[in-house]
Amino acid sequence: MTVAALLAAGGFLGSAIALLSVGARGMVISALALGLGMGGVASLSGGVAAFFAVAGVGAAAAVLIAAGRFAPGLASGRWLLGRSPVVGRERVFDVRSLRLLVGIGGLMAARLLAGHLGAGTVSTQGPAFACLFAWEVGIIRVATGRGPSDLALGGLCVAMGTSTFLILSAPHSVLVIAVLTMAVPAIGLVLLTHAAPWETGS
Amino acid sequence: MTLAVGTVLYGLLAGAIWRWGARHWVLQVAGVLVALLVAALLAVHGLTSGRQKAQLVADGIGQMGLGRLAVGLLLGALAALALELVVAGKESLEAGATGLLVALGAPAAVVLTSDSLLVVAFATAVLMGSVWLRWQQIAGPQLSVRSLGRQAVIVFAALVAAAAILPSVRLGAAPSLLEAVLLAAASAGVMGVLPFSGWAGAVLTLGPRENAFWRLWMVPVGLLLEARLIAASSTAVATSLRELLIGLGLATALFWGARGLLGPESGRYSRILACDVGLMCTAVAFATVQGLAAALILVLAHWLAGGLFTAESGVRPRLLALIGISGIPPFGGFTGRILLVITAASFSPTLSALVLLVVGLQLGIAAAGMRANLASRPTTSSVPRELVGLVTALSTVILGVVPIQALQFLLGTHL
Repeated sequence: MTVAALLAAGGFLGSAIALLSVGARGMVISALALGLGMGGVASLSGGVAAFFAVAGVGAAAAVLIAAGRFAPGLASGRWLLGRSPVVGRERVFDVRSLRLLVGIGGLMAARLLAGHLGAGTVSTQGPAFACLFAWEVGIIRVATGRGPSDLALGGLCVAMGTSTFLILSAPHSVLVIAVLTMAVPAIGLVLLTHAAPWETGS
Repeated sequence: MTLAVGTVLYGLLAGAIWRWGARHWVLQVAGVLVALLVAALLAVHGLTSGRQKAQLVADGIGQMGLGRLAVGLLLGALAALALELVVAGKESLEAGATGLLVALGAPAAVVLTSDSLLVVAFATAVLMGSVWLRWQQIAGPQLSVRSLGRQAVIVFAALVAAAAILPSVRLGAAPSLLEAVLLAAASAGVMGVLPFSGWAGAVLTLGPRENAFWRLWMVPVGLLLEARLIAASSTAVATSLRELLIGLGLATALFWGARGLLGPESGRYSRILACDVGLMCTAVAFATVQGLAAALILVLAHWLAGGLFTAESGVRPRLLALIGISGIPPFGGFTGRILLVITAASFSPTLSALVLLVVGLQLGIAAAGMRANLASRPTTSSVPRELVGLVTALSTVILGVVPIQALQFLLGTHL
């Protein structure tokens, strides 16, 4: 197994964790796993700086979400969104089962599309697959979301996948804008993680 | 630099309106000040910066370039907001809504001026996300409001992904179609074209007053974004993008046309607007000057007449507004639609027939709306509102009779 394949597998694993996690603790783990996984993929082209840029955003988001439990000012979901009434609803599938089923479809689509995308001089089959899968995980979380935090995590997955792909394409010229792209949804995730969900249950 | 300073000052003024806008005269004075300030800044920026680049860039923050059309749309939206406040009178929009409507001008300006897809994605997310936050605050997580939140993230996702795969796009390659699908999804999401009905659904849930966010900012910004995306894309992408948007626009117009005809009286104007958004999307997707002009005439007609549906005005202003936007000659609504029919006819008789079908549906909706208004509304309202209704009707007649001159004067568009 080559280094590129190993790092791409790490990116895939981070996205898979973000796909299946639930709750505030799940958001912390997702942000950290995504940052580390996609940071590894970004380092293929951008080196150590790219790794620290991507992983740093993920780690910072994870720390701030965790700190939000003790510092209410960080968890501003309530004043941003008001008091959301929570509604219980019976579902045929558990939300994780649903995401897993759709995620398998996304995995196939990412596998098919990855070979068609070019990202600079890097051999893109594996790394592009990881980026595409992270993007798809974001869309799945948005589509199946049961609260504002799911939308924010979806945005972070999308931004991480896209930014990593941009770094693979042009590592030196896009680092700043890539970090900005990831930072905005990361801030959203920090603010919205503790907001009341729209629906109860799993 | 000028634009950055302008954006900061603009934000401060919007914040001031939000904070102290409960006193009515503050809103009026601040509205005029904002319009003057923005006009001055945009004029200075327009004189000192170069023309907008033809191609969008995938990486970096790109450059800002301000066209005459963008200036016209930004100032036009602010003028329409002022008209809305005058029409509403004592039942004016609350200070929070007015402040947000003014503040949204800053991200709207960035969407219209930046040549970086990533920056456009950020600004679009701010535009849509701000309105979603406000609506979730006042209405709670109702299904339609939740859908709008999802729609905002999907638009952001589509634009950033389109930026990332832009270098992979080449003639005949799979990424070209993917790029077109992503750009079409982004354009449709900003405007509220099917399958993204978040705007229409939320407005129907929240009532006519909140309609202003969609009508004043999202629709014109989405249309100009669509026009820019088509113009700045390669041939391979632009062809697929246009076909997708023509199909989605017509489907939206037919769907909301039927819903408007068969649905209840409440929210009828929102359904007319949703139907017209489909027509405008189709018009711009033809990628001709006539198509763009047709869409812009419809935007102007809704800016003029839409405010009359948000307040409890009497029967005459509402009737005049309905006539103005319904497609009865010689009003602006008719001119925009007939220009679209002519443009569609040059592409395909089937398209032209479908547009005519939608126009017929809209005439039916307007007729039903007029009958309902005559049957249920009081026949008189306050003198200022009656006057505003008359002025609005006169303006839509002027727009319909001299559309070329009106577009040239207001938006700098030459037919």
